Amino acid sequence: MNSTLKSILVPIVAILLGFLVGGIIMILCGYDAILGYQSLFNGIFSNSYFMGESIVKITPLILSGLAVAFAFRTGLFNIGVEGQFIVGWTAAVYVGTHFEGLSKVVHLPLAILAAAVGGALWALLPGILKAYLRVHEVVVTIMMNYIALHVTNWFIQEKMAAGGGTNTSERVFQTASLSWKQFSDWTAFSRLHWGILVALIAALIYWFILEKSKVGYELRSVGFNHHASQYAGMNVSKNIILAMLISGAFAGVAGAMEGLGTFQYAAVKGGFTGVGFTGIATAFIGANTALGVVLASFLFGGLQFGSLNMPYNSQVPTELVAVVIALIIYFIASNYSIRTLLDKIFTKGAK
Amino acid sequence: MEYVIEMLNIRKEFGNFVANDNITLQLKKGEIHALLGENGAGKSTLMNVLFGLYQPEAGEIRVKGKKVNISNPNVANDLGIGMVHQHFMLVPPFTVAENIILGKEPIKNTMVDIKSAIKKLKELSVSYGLDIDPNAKVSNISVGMQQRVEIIKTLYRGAEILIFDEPTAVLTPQEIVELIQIMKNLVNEGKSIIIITHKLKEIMEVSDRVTVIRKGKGIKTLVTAETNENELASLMVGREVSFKTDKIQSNPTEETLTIKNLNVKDNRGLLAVKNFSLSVRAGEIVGIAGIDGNGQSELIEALTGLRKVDSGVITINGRDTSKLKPRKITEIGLGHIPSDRHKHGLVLDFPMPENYVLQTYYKKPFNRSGILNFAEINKKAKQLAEEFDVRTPSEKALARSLSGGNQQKAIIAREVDRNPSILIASQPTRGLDVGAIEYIHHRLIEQRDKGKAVLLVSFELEEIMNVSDRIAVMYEGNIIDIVDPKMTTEQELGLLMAGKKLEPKGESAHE
Amino acid sequence: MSFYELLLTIVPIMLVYSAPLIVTALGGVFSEKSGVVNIGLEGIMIIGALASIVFNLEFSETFGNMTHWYALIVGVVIGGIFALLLAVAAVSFRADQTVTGVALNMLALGGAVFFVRVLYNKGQTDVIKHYFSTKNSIPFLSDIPFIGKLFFHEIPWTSVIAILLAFVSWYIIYKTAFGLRLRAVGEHPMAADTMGINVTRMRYIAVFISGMFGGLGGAKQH
Repeated sequence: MNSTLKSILVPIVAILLGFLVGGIIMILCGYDAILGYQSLFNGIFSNSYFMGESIVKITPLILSGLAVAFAFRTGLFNIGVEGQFIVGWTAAVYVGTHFEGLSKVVHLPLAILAAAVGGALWALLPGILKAYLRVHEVVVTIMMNYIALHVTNWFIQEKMAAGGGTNTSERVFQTASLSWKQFSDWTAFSRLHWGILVALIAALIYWFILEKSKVGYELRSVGFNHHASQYAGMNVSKNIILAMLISGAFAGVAGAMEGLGTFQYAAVKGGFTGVGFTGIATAFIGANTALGVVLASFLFGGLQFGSLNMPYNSQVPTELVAVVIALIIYFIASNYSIRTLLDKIFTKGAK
Repeated sequence: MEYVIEMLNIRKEFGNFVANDNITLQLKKGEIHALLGENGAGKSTLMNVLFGLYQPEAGEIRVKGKKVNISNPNVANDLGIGMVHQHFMLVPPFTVAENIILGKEPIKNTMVDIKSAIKKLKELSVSYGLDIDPNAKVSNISVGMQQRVEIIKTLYRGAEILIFDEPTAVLTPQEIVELIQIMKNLVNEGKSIIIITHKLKEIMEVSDRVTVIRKGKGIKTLVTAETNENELASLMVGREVSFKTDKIQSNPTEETLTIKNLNVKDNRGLLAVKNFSLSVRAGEIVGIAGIDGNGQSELIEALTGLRKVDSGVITINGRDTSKLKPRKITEIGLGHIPSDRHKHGLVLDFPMPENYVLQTYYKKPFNRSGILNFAEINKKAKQLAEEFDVRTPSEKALARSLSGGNQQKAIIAREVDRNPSILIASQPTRGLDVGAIEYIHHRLIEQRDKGKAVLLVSFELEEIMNVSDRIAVMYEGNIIDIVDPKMTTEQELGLLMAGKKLEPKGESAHE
Repeated sequence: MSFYELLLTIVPIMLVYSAPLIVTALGGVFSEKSGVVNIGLEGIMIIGALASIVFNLEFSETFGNMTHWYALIVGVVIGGIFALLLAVAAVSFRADQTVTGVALNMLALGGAVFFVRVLYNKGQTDVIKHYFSTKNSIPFLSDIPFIGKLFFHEIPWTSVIAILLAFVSWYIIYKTAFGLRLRAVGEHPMAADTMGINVTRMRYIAVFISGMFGGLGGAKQH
């Protein structure tokens, strides 16, 4: 059986298995599994508002997934996407709430750029530590997440809060906003914004850098085998840092989606948002390819939003979807078993 | 005649591939029996069948005349069969004693009784002349001692039949001498030995009989005393093999690479290359002989720009390269075939085309203003694969999926294609079979004949003798002597490598 | 307040809070030593806690004052069984250990809230009736001047068990044949294999032990 077909079939089988086990759990707990999934489906597709809000959920996931995937492809494990995302969000809103009077063509790109730079800078320190001192990036980026959370909370509280004891910033100026009235009208006042376009463009950029550019070739080479890359005359340290910067920039832009699109402000957070961590899952399921990450984000974002509808129509707790998502990741991780299973089925069929 | 092991008509298949096709091997009690064959001929498969790691599709195994079913290594152990693996199966942070008793620990009061174990090991060590330190950590002991630990491991389990898998591959010449003595001791104590190898000289020296296999088939079993290296080689390869590589007289011209008073430090900060001077002229191959660890790798790393030069001058094509970065040196005209092709030569998870341009991807026509031109890259790959006969499962196959010989050919293709003035080849044939070795030697000589300079670093004396025009023997970071391969013998080289400078007039120094 | 008095307030509380951490970390040691990184311990703790709390609530009538001890055992067993999910994927199916561990954490987090909603129709359970409240002073040791009062006076049983388990684990890992094999499997599985040690079995056992510790850690947290 050919390997391309198999690499497409494996995630599909894993996803089906995830739903299957989820369905069995529902039945064992006394729910109507068909009704449960029906209400999940309806929670995504039954009206334009749901669809709009699903896309709102999907948009930052694409970018955080790309951030994680980019690091993976270059031999790094960036668990710090969550922190870079929060920093990007804060930076975007800071620029978005300042510089009144700029035109939209300047202000909006500037705010997104600020988010990218913020995210990249937050990834810079782990990159430098990895490149020059061989400190493992996983530990450093996890710590940077906590630092990001508390530092931005302090910054928002002290420097950006609207005053009067609130914990939220002003709303960003219209010139820095991603929202568009037409979207809102079409989707029954959902928060759908231009961010999805930004995310898809980012996916294209991701593909181009890694698959087509000289820089991407070096980054992948260093990621796979830094010894051979060094022998071939590449600057390993520079490439490690660059990889972290680009990964962090994707994460930062993910933050801008929330700060300039969905919420249009920044608020003090009680804990992590989970967007960065879900990015690990989407990168993994999307096999670190641009298209794969986009599709996986659609799946997860859709499921996460659609699950909110389940308790109303079928009494099934929303957490079932969290269980299904975890199962899908589990099955994809165990892809070896699925591959052997597929091999068996297909060789039998052939004989 | 009493046979302790009989493997009769063994057949082992992997899918459609027949690794062992009706091979018969009979081991007499108290003999050293060599199993000879090229890489991939099926030697290891056959031994893994005997050790219970694989189950044969057909044929039977008899131990002391009794038919047995060796379903796993534990059964083999119980039958008294022990294996000394090529890649030592030792746990580095454990002590020697812990490694030996692992899986068969003496117990006292629920605790591992390490004291009684050490006592038993000392007895074994004395009676077989195997010098070990039971309390030393494996990560701290020499390769030779690690091998002795492996041997004692099998003896501790009561092995009567010992299988040695390519035991000399990792040893220094001195350690090889010791090993041969150990094997003779073992046989004198009543053990029987099978030694897997593709080195003819060792077979002649140590074995009583030899079984040759080729492409999965058993070819012949001979008495060692009644055969010679040439016969064995042609049986192994299936055609006449010339040991002397044919080459015309070298015709060196100007100096391409000049090294003057070079000092280089190793990772611990100690001088590994000391006041080293050497020149390689266009149109000649200079071989660097020496035992591993005498500064060869530090020297190469310094020449290629991968390691900082402490002091001294390196000149390539008249330019001082001692302070330049690897890429700059490459561009000045250096090609490098690294000794570890997996670690340094290839990106194993890259498809072959991307590996072929590892040194040139940033240049035209492969790169145009930051965008790679994959059509050109694939074209180059196709051209090199044809020109150098690199066989791949598909054009865009991952480097990982190629055989060792083809991987090495690809690296040579990449380096030679850049037409470097000086080509440094470090251990270019390690782990390859006879055919690939011949091909690679031929390519190195071809470079020389085109008027290029070649620096060959190798631990294989035969290779150095056959290929080089001059041999520089390296000992403790310096050149102890430069000799002409036509005027010297392997024995003399061996002495030089051990640091014993020859007396003039060829009188050999005393041990 | 003198420094000693300060210690007197801090140390006993520290002992109480450290107990689940000690136990869970010990679980991590077992699987780590066998060569399986158990990122899923967080999830195993959650499942252990959930199992023992649900047991405690459901059976408090039946078992009365011994309920919390039985609940502890239930947490241990369920934790071990849940950990086998990691073993199946990471050992038998060669899955990426980190990713599988993360999946287990997500599964536990989602699954726990899911089951609580299924069982009690709300996001939180009731407060359990039987728990480890009794503080114990350890005989003799608590009479040692200075440190006796600090470390051995009125500490809960769970903390005592946790610290004892640390010693037991050390003994098992570094003194017994099982421990030697466990470490060999983690350091060099191929070598262990050629010595006739069943690597897969050892890893399953290690992950199961790890899960039991994780479950215990979770069960203790209530």
